[in-house]
Amino acid sequence: MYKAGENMIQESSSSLVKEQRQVVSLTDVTFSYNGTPVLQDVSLSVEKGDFVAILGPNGSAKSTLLKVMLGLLAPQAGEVRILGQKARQFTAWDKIGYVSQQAANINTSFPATVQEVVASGYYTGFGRIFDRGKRKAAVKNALEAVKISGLSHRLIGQLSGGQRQKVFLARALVRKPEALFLDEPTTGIDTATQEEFYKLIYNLHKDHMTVVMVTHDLTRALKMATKVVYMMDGKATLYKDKGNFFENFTSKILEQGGQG
Amino acid sequence: MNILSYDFMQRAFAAGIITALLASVMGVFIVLRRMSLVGDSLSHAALAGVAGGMLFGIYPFYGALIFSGVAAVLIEFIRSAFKKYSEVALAVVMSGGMGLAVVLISLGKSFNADLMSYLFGSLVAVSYQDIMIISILGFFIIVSVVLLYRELFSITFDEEFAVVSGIPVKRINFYFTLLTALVVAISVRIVGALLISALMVIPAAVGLQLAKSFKSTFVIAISVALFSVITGLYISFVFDLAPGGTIVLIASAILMIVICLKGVFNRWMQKNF
Repeated sequence: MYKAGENMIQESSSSLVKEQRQVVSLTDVTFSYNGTPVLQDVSLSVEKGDFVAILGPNGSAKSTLLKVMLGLLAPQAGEVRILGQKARQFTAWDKIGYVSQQAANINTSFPATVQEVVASGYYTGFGRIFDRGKRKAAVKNALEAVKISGLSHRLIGQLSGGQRQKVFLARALVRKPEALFLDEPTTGIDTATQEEFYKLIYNLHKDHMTVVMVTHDLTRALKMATKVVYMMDGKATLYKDKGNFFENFTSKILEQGGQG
Repeated sequence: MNILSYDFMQRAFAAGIITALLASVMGVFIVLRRMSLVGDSLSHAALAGVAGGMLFGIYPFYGALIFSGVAAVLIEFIRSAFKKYSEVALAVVMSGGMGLAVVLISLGKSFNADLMSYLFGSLVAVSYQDIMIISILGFFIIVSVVLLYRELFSITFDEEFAVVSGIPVKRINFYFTLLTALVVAISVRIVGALLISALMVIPAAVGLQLAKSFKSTFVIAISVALFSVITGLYISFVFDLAPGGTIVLIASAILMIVICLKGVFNRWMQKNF
């Protein structure tokens, strides 16, 4: 249940059909760092085919929310479900792709080629001895999908920030996931490459990929996303209609008279 | 003069080659995970195991195996209490291990030639029993690393992503530390407790300087380690030197030469291209 508020949409009690449509669902989730709560009673769900932009000021726990959604951080209270399974017991990781903020803070002297990094995304557990051929093909496809086939034997440290982030996108896509989670994927990348990167994401979404993206780029979010999660003071508000969010957001800013 | 006509030199070479292989392979992962001090911590614990073994009449090599295994568990345990300061665990286990070693040595009044051989490595000390243990454990460790290669790569490169790939990161990390403990205990015999860490870190460091891919890092590190151990054993036999020190000096020299040549080469490339 959401806390009271005009713009929050009431969720009907989850029927089976609904559950099957849900990629991620959070129910009354509270998460604290060393006793300080940064997420309070957050409930929301991401459905198949959504493009959800997570927006909010700096330090509003956007990345934390994304990590809680993925089960990387375990909340102190509440329940997180990924594709209907409890996050802690979730096993179908091949259906989830994740691009973290890596590009900006990667160890550039790590001796790995683009191909090796992308192949590390194709993890199939211990029965993999027989997957060699499939893995190679999957890596090739993923590199083509993000248009960096020419870089496959280059060391990761020799690439530009934009190229590197494409490598991480390819690594996330190599198992053909159903949903893609991105954490400020274009931090520190030049505008031209950003444009290219967002176009890739947009096309993936058009091909029915569910996308959840943390970003501080408001215009971009409103252009691409179908839904918006706005984070503020530990609360996360889901706007199922981004137009609704935009109206609310501008009026809020006017009310605050530019304080925020 | 053929030095391989001596039985003890055959054993020393066999033990040395296996040690070089194991230490350099584990070293690449250890250096990239910024855990270069792990070898040092575990080897101090292994030394306590050697001293304990001598005191209680257990074969010192077994003492080393047990103590460095226990130290590995301790490191992981302390690390979970200080998540952001993982080097605290290493420092505690290193000084704890050394303290225990000193106490056990003084209790047993066992500061003798035998102990010295475990400190600095020895050519003559490798027994048939040692070779058997080193071979069996060595085979087990190499098979483990080959089977877990993808998991270890993924965790080393990006631990968070490894979790989201479905890799059981915590369990594999723990297993990896245990394997490191085994390698350290094995290496005590030939390079000595005080110099193991160097045999892990230096070949890996040369690999990092020259590598064109992750796999090639291993090829380079293994080659450097094998070359250092083989020439080091030969030189230490001919000139009657401590093998551990000789091996480590050769490896260090290779690293220095590589760094210098690389600097010269890069400058030449910049000038001419």
